[in-house]
Amino acid sequence: MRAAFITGASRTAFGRHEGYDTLDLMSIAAREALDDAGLTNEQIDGVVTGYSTSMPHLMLATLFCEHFGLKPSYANALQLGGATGAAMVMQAKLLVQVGQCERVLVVAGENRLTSEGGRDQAIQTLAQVGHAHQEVPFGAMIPGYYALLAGQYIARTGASETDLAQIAVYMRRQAQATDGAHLTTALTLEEATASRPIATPLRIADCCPISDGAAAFVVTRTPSEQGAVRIAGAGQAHKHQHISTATDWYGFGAADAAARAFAEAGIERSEIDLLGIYDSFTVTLAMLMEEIGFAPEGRAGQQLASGFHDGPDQPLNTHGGLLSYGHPGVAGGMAHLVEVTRQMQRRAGVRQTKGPAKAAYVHADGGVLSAHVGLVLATDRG
Amino acid sequence: MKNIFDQLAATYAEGHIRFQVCEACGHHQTFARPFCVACHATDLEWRDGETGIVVACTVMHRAPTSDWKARLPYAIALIDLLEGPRVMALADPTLTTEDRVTLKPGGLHNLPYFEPMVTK
Repeated sequence: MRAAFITGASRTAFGRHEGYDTLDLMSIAAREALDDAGLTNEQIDGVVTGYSTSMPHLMLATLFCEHFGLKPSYANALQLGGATGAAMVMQAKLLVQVGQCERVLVVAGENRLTSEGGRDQAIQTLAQVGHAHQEVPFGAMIPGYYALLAGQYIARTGASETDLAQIAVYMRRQAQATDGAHLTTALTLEEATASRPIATPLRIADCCPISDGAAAFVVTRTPSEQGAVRIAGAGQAHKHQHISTATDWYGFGAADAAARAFAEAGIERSEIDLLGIYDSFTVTLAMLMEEIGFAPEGRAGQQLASGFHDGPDQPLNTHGGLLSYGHPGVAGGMAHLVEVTRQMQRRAGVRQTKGPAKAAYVHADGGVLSAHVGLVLATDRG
Repeated sequence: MKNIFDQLAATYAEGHIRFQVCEACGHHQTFARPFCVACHATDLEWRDGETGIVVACTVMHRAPTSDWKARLPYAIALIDLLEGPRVMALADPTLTTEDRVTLKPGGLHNLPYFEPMVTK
């Protein structure tokens, strides 16, 4: 099978982009990704987009193509909640590998924060990932669903609310060195554990912000001149949709998706020296890290607090993650992969890790730990 | 599925929890549908759930709609029914994981509401 490489990557600042709509933000990220790859519109023969809650169009992929001036031979829009961005990259990889496309633009973005209705509308829209008749009627919403996971996590593992807060503190520290991060005000452990409750045991510091922003990639058959980043493996797992039916505590799907990605890549988990792990809530990161095996059960928060991920061995979410770089929907999960790409190309500026960054793992989940996509990246030419 | 969910909503309004059990294979399911998710047989029996164990309980301090905002704070729990599957419902905010619970007669806000089981 042919190899597939990330040759262009970009993300806008996340936060407030007053007056910019979905297509504006997607266009900015797409332009930057194409420039990064050194490609023109005419050279793009595949386009993969996600969805936008603030512009719920039936045909977002081709809507964007017309707007941006693209005439690809293949286009598609994917919907897997927070896992969409990673799934889009997996799809682009497959399109290149089977020879359907040579150069695929992967792009998503939206003004989730400043669109009409703003944060309140976004929260109401997102609550609908719950079961319409047997969960949503109880006044549940996304933080509530994840709070029900957090309650189980604390009860089962013996981890504390303070351990979870350590994850928020870690992400904020990373974001403070990152241009374009949504939240950069210093956050102490004391402030995080005293922040206002949203859905117990989760506090506002445990929750990612709702942002405006966009991100894009170009995936091609040939590596970038700026440093080869090969998509060496990709895997998915989808075992439930709603939290009420997620009864297998030891197998939400993260480990299955990761195992499939590692198997395809021929890379062991122990070889991974760079991580980009989805962190919509502190508990999301803890549960993903532990199920996949990057932290012992109940110890993810303590592991981050110990400084392990600040060292060269296995840097994690060096841009600040969803918790502090921000979360504009599909682009939120793509920002982790943009960061991993920059680190692997040794173009991460002040955040450049001292470690080798030769084999990375990126994981995203959608719904309530429902849809899982894992990607393994390698700095070789296939 | 409109009929099924209308029927379920009427049950909720009285504070009751009902779930389906497959007459062919015995599988019980959390979410109602016209067939058994395990074997796809279509003969399903409705049963009542009344008691269970708390999987997790969260007290909401932020609400998705203005109606729910007026009720803050309120609690939502996942309950493993002794009689069958895991379900979501309203709950007493003091509940924690592994507590034994029973349905409050009449429910709350026209929805089923679990409260601590009182040992007699």
